Amino acid sequence: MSFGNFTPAGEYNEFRQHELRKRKLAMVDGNLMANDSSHLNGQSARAYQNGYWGFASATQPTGSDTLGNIALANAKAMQLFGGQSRPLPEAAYQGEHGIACKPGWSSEQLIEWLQSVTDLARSRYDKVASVTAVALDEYHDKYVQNSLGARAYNNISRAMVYLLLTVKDKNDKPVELGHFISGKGSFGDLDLSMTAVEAQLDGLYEHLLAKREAVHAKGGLQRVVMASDLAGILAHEAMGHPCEADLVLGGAVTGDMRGQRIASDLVTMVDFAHSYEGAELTVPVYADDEGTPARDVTLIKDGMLTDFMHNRETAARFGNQATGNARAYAPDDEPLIRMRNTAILPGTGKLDDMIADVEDGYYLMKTSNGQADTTTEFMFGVTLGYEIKNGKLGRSIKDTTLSGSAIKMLQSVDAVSEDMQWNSAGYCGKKQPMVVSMGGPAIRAKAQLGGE
Amino acid sequence: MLTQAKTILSALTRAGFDDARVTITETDVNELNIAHNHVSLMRTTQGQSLAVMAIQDCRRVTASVSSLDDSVIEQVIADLKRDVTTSPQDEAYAVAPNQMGSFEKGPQSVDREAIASSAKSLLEARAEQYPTFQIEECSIKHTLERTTLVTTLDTELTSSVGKHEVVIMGSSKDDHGSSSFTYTYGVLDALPERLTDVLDIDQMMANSVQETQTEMAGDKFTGDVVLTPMAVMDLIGWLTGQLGDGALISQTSVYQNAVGEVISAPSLSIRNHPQGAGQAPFNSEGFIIDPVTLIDSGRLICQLPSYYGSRKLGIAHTPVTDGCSIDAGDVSRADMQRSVQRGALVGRLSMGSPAPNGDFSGVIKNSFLLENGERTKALSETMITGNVAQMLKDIEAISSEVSDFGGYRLPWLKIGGLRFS
Repeated sequence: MSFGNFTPAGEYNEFRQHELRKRKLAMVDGNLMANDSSHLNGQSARAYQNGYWGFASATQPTGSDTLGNIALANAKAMQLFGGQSRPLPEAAYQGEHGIACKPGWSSEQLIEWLQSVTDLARSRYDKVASVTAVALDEYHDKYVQNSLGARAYNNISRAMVYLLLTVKDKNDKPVELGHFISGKGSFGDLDLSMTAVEAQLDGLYEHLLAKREAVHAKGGLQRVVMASDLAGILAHEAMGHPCEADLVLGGAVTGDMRGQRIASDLVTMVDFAHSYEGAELTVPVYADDEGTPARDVTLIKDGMLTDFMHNRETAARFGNQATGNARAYAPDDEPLIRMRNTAILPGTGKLDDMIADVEDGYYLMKTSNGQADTTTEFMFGVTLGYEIKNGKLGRSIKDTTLSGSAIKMLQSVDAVSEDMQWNSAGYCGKKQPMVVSMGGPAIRAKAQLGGE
Repeated sequence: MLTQAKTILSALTRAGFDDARVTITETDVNELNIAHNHVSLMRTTQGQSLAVMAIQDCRRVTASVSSLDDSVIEQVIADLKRDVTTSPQDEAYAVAPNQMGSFEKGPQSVDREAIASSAKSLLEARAEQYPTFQIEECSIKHTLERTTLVTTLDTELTSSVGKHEVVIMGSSKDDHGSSSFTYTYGVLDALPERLTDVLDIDQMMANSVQETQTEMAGDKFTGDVVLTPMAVMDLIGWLTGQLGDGALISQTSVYQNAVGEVISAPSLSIRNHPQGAGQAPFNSEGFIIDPVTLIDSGRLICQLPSYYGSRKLGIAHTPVTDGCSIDAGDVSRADMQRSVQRGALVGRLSMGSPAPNGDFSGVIKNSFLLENGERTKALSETMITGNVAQMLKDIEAISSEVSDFGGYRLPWLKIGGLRFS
């Protein structure tokens, strides 16, 4: 796959050739439940005419000319609804950015590794009732051309393993805890040595034994210290989504709040395009799938809401620059406004001090899924946490949910740690799935916790 | 497609595989998108895929590609041969035997004018009746999916399934503020003249415009919830997860040995719903889907392992696809609300996946406080905590009205004993 002949169509058009390769191997207690690979190839075209978009895609090589004409016909077909043309931003990127992956692992290597991890957990942890080990990798190669002269190649590569241990509590009910190891590139880029995995599983098992005896959290507004693993999902769900310009146009409360204080002045939040402090991030987007040069977007600066993430169309409507956030997941998907590498920036605090200063609260360490809202009322599941009593960690708490108004919660932030943790596991869901990364330091704030 | 599928099956046999399954799918999609109350994009996508599962010496491997070119197929078979030898042996691996049939279902051609007309009716209804409701995103889609599935054990299935899918997500915004986003979706055989007449769309918008002014529930209390269909789906999702391969094979399902036992209130009966709009006549393993009762008057009738899972565990195999139907109850939705002394009408649960033992806590969204039988204020920042397995037992009433979403037919459920905070 490479760049092809490009034929202009309509007021603006783009052509994307997209290859997506994925593997999934899943082992439950030594039983190989999945040993699957998929390879999708596709071409797509999108055309803009009088305020409407047309899109066409095919899995067969069809070409810019044919697909562009179908896309343009689709755009023209909607003129019956009226129509008003709006000039789109004209920035266009030319460049090629691959990821230099180490050699990937074969399925044989992965199956051996999954079995070794299963055997390790079975032999090392006497109370384990079940071990699930899953390995997934995916590689996106995208060649994007458009009528503004963009000619951009981008590659996103991610490898990920998920380890889930289950024990039984005193009532013989299952209690589980999972752990991700993931990163940019292939499995060869991850540290999957048994020494490294053993250390991580030891920690996971120790927490799991504590969770067997877990108590319900106290429901209601609580003072919480969120570990750095949680800050990323907080950034993504709580204020990331409400700062996507399409959600703003859809009525998100952030639409009326640019320039206003929405968080403690300890909070600065950025959606990074490809790099942080000189290092390339897990989801490096140099040009998006509209061929726009990608730039960092500072969403919150010292507590003030500053900017939104845009595609070409919303940038035109807001009179802003396009930011390079238009991304499509599969070859037959059209680009939508999506986050890339979203983070709350580190402060100057120390985690131990942040816990020590809490008389009665909770330390939250691991999360599951999350959800945003137009109101900024976010939630995410908490799968590992502990009570804090008089500055000391106490009993483990059962699975719970953290929620609240992101604005109220961010305004309550009174400490931000100096460390910074990035991760990229799972997918963001918004019509299409999407590979994103998120990061942040530990944060102390007040938020609603589900419980007794 | 059938000829090509059989040719590939023969090639797999010649390559030395003991058993194999070949699935070829061709998909045509026409989709109209609405964004921010305006028609925004029309999509036309054409796709084909080949999915293969192959077994050799009790070792299994699967692969899928988006091309049916000879060279691609040759490479797929070569890759399968390479990878299958690395798979551990398991005698439970098998392909579907002796399933035969040819099926046609749903609209077999797209009517783009009908799609445009539906979009127009939705936009007009919004503008006239609910002008403060903002359609953030809506898609009205026709899909025609032609599938051929063959196995080395004499399974030969073909289908052509057409369907219309509608997804609407939005929120309301007025001088008071913004509401939480809300959504509904479903599958239809035919698009109606007024789109708001189906999939609870009118009700969704009518509720949303009342949710821009919200309050917290107040003190912690234990009360009732009346779950509307989108919230009921969360309960169903947890239940089917507990009855599926992952939980059963890891021996961690709370219903591991519960077939025949009472696991819910006696008023609850749940069945699969293969006759629903858009429901596939056979599943991806290659088994024809027949009507099945999952829970009959509170009693668990069957578990839902895959064919592999059933052979692995030596338990009955019950082929199903996504989707289910809950039998209607005998209480009107209005009476159900009137019976609540203190609790909430819950439009949506925003939460992490419930723990495997069923414990959960979640934020209730698009929800209203119920006090002394009256629906009062819209709620925000309110959470409920409970246990899904216990909730199934604590169902107090099921509505006589049932909403049809194609694959799902769901009533409202009244459940007691939830902790509010």
